[in-house]
Order: sequence, then structure tokens, then C-alpha cells
Amino acid sequence: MTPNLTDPRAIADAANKIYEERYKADYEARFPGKYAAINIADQSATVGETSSSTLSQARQNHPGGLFHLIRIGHAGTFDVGFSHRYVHSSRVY
Amino acid sequence: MPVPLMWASPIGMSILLGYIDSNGHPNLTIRVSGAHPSAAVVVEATIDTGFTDFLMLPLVHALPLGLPLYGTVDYTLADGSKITNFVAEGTVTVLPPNGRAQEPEPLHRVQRVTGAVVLGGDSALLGMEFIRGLNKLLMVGKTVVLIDNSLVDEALLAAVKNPEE
Repeated sequence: MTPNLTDPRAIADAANKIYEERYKADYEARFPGKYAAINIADQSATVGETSSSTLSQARQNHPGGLFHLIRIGHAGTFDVGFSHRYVHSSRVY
Repeated sequence: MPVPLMWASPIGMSILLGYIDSNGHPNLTIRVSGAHPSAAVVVEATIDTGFTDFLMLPLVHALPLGLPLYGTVDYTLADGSKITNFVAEGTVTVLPPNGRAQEPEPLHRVQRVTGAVVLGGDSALLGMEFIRGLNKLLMVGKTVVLIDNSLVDEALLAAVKNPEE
């Protein structure tokens, strides 16, 4: 089922489901700490060293794709120390 | 605003300047651009060493740039909560501190890095992936200086060879 492409949370949920079903066990054993870009269009995955290089490579491999970035073996992809310290999540929109 | 130091050393290795803002946070003046060279915005961005990625840019600045959209990313806030934002490709050019006259820069001194821009937040944040992409050492004291790693390596090598100096 195609997720709502205007809702980032829906895209992320679809991609996380693909990742957990197809890639998580293998990637956490082989690529801990690296980044995986999951293409929700064709369920493919691209692994890289940094978030920027992984997304760039994923776009080169799949120009029409829409990707969710996952940091392999981590609960969140990025940490933000300062800007959102006192901001409720709904304020980002 | 601290007294500006020289923008670039005469030997061609650049030293970049930032500044400490009124809240005591290190800042850089940057220009963010996307695929279209004429669409750009100049913002004051805080350097956040707790931010693991490249750049976070509020939607009010990002949307007019037409940045190519990659997809989405989850991130964990300082309070432990988790949110999801869109992420796009953008290019960051470091500028002299705001208010200082622009000086013509030889091409090799232009500090420009392309990376993943997280769309959202209340203010622009530069993270550790940006600092690493510049390949510079970040020093924060009364002002903010980013200096070529090669200069630091040379200084350390000289110190090892002449430890008594």
C-alpha cells in the first residue's frame, strides 16, 4: 500500500517496515553505525558512510526514488543537541 | 561582534571566521543554495556539536530554494523525543561574518560543501558532518575559527621536532 507522500511520518513508517523485514538483521551484523537509505518505491537499500553520501548515492542508483534514511543499529538517525531542546515536535511544521 | 581576523592566510590555506552570538553560541554566516544557482539564502547558523548531521534549515528559508528532495529522516531531540522531517540536498558556502564587507576570494579559498539538509527547526543548525566536510579544525573561544587541518598538522609536527620551543 502506497503511503501518504505528503506525510513524512507515513513515509518513515513504510520505510522502517521494509527495513525491519528485509535488511535489519543482516545490516546490523555487517554495517553497524553506517547509514542505509531505504527506497519506498522499490524497497531497495543503499548503504554508505555518511548521511549525505548515502542519500547522494541512493539518488544516483535510483533517480526516481524517495528515501528514508536510517542509521544502522541506532534508534534515531540524528541527534540534535541545541535547536529543539525546548520545542514540542508539532512546532516544526 | 568580535574584531575580524584575516579571512585567509597569505600562503593560500584558509582560515574561516565565525562569531559568538548574544546567547554565547558559536555561529557562522552561510549561504545555502540548491540546484538553481540564483536561488540562495544567507542565514546565521549555529554550530551545534550535538547535531550529528550536515545542516538543519527552517522551512521558511528552505522552501523558496527549491532544494531537491531526497526523502525523510528521523531524529532524536535533546529531550529524547523523536520526530520525522523531510531531507533535501543543499550546498553551503561559508561567508565572512555578517556585517563585514565581502572580499573577492580566489576560487581555491571558497569553502563550499554539499550535503543533506534537514527541513525544519526554528533556526539554522550546522552539524558535525558539515565540519568534517570542511576538513577544518573548529576552535571556539571568544570568537570562532575554523582552520585547515594541514596547518594544525604542521604545527604539531614542528612542536614534536622542537619540544623545548
